[in-house]
Amino acid sequence: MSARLRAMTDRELGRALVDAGAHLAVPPLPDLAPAVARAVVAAPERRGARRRTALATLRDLVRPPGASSRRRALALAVALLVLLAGAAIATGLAVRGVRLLFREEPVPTSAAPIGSRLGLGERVSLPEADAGVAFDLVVPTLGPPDEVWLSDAATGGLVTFVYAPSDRLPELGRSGVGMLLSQFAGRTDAPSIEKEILSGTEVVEVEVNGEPGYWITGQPHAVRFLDSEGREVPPGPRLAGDTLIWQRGPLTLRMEVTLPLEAALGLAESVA
Amino acid sequence: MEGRPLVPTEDESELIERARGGEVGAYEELVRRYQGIAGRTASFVLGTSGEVEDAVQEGFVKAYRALDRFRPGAPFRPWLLRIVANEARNRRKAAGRRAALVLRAAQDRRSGDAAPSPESAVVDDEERRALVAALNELREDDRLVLAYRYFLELSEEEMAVALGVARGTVKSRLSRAMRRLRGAVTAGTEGTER
Repeated sequence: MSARLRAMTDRELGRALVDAGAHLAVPPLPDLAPAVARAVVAAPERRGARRRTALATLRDLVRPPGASSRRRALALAVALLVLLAGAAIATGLAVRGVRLLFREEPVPTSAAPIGSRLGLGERVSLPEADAGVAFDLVVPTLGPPDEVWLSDAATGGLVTFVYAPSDRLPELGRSGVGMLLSQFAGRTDAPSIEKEILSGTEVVEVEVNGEPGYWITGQPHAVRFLDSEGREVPPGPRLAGDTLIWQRGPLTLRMEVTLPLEAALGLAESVA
Repeated sequence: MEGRPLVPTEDESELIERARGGEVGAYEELVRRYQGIAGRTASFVLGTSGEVEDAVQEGFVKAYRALDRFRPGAPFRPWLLRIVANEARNRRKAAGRRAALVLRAAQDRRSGDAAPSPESAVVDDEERRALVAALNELREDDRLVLAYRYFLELSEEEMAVALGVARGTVKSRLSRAMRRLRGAVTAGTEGTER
């Protein structure tokens, strides 16, 4: 029957295989790019034995829906997740210029404690800060800050307002600071802030005036600022307490406070 | 499209670099570029089952997470295919059954594929079916080696990456698979002649 096949040289058999390959049925696939993008943005890294832990942690951390329309528990703990600009925005998950790195290891020992080595840059006046950045500064209704700092982290500069502790703003660790509020023009193509999230830290997706944000709470997390070239800005990573980070038009804002989420959101929504 | 050069084009290296930096949009572009060949690869293991789509999608997700381990400048395509093939194999094992390669129905064939001129008509339909039946008798490893070489027409170097073996091993794997294919062809034809 297929005597010809049997008699073929390797070369001929090879050609027959090429022919057969061209006639094989292959199931048609839809465009998989959107589904892949959603998966890599939304789920923690799953690698080998970590898989179960990661998923279990995720289940444990996701809160029952409906607790509050503003807050929706997101991802968590363990492993690496890169939430970044670009396509991530399409999924409505990203805050521009912010990368969250989920890590399993203990807190990096190189990270300085909350309040020390804040690495805010250079102390300037409010008008100087305004002149020194490529965007219009925004200020919370809380009033003008006690100190203004300008850093060359981020493209276009990064300004941090420092507020002294007060009745409304409990001290952050032992920093002598009540609130840090940073702002910069978040890029869609590169992070300016990296946050290392460790188990014990929770990330909650929030909305601030209809724009996306994260509330990072629980155990302190490491924060690192990057310049326009992606290089780490001295003095390197430090630990941060509860932080709200959100997008406001072209700006990305970061608020480090010791307040419940609702109060932090109230303050954030007052920034204009 | 599948005759892509081994050395990544600048455009592709750039996409990979951007994806490594966490830019998901760049990775989406890579997915669109390679999902066709990834789908064919998965189908060599899973046949035409619905698992193919899942395996390809999960393969791309795993490859994204492994991008840190991808050596810049290395050929991306075979590296990706290795991940997709492994995903497909795991799924096939979990399903606990063999999957068969299937020929397209004659009416599905596009004119370019199957308008044999006297010299290109290397095999007729019947021989083609016999050949595919023989392929389906082979171990997955052997089938994949032959598929990479003859269906995807990967170079030896690409095959080495896709199979995860030393380059010098590719030839011996290929000749072993060919030998086994011959054995299956012979057994198959003897079976039908019985």
